[in-house]
Amino acid sequence: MTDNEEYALMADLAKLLKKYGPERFELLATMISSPDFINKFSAVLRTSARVYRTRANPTRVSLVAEILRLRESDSKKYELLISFENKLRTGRILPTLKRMKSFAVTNGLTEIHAKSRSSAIQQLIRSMLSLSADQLEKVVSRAVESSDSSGGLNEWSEIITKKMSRSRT
Amino acid sequence: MKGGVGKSTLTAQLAYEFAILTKWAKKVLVIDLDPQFNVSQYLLGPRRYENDIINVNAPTTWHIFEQHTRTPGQPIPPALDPVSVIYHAVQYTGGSLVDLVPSRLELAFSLRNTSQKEDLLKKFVSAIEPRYDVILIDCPPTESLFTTAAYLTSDYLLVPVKPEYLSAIGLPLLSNSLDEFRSHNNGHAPEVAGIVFNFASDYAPEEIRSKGEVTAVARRFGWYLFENEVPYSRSIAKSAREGQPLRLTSYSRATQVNKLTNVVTELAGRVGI
Repeated sequence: MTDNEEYALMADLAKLLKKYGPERFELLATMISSPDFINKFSAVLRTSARVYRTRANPTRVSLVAEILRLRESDSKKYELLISFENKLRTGRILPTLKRMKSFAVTNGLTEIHAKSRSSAIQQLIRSMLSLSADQLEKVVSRAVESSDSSGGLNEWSEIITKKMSRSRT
Repeated sequence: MKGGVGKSTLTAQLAYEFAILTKWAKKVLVIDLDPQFNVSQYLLGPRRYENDIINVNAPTTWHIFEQHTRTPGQPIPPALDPVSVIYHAVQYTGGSLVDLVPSRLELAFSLRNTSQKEDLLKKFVSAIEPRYDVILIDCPPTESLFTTAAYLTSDYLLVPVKPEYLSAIGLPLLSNSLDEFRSHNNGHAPEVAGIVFNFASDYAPEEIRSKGEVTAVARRFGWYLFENEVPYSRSIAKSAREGQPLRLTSYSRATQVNKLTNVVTELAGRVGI
């Protein structure tokens, strides 16, 4: 350890000393010097790792596995799904839960019953897994179009004026 | 017989409700008979309308009315395939759907020469009718070839009325229009399924007064007045922009959606859907 790192550690220890008090520090020093400390410490680490593993959502894990399998079997579908999920998660398309539910319904996908946008994304992606690459491409482009298009007056006025000038010629 | 009463918006909402709600889950066809093509705008949005209708010159209601029009020096045009005029707007998981016969501005040109065109819509609908449970025709506000074609084709008329003075005046005009149609068609005319208040808020005194007047006129003509009303809701305008049914529009209120569903249920009861 360099001098600088030692000073940084001392500064951190000073902060912790202030936070927990000198008595706890003395207790900790006694614990660390005990011979079976390492065993107890590694047991604590193992328990927390197990807790973390059980908290991971098994549905999400299997969904990821299914998507990853596509990388080998249908790379086009894989790329479409990954890019779609990325756009969903960054909120660039279907930015609200309601719009996601509506999108699923209007595109003949399984209805979404989710209370959060995050679970809705999983449900939406799962229901899109059964589509062929071509169907998927169409559905994805609809989502992108609906998000790009404001449905605003500018777009309609452009269509109408273009159309009228075409029909005059 | 009056513009701005919400005919196109209500048509789109009815189509969505009949298709989405599992108690109906119907196959619905919407025919846009208005050259202003508002219901096409609602159901397709600008991108799909431009890409799938305009850019590819897809058949529209104009093609139904002009299918026999000949250009000098050109051969007789081939017969119009009725299915080619149908655009799939939305398809749902359970098999229900909303299809559209889109319109375009040029439909107005059909009014320049109206001879022998009145029954073309009826012939078109006869050909595709078995595919659908419900067919909704969105009419333009002014009486013309298109209203006559719609009368000839329809079993029922649903009359949305905005509870205000000028909208209410449209009712006697409708009565005249139906009488005239009857006199030219051996006494036959579509049945008025009812008058429904659209954009109602039950708030302003003018609105309450107009409702009273409309009720009196409806009674005089023997027309049914819907017990349920389509409420005024800012989300309805937004639903058109988003191209969504009211129930799926961002931040739409459940109470407003339920009121709309009540109107649809009442209509379904009236016409036996």
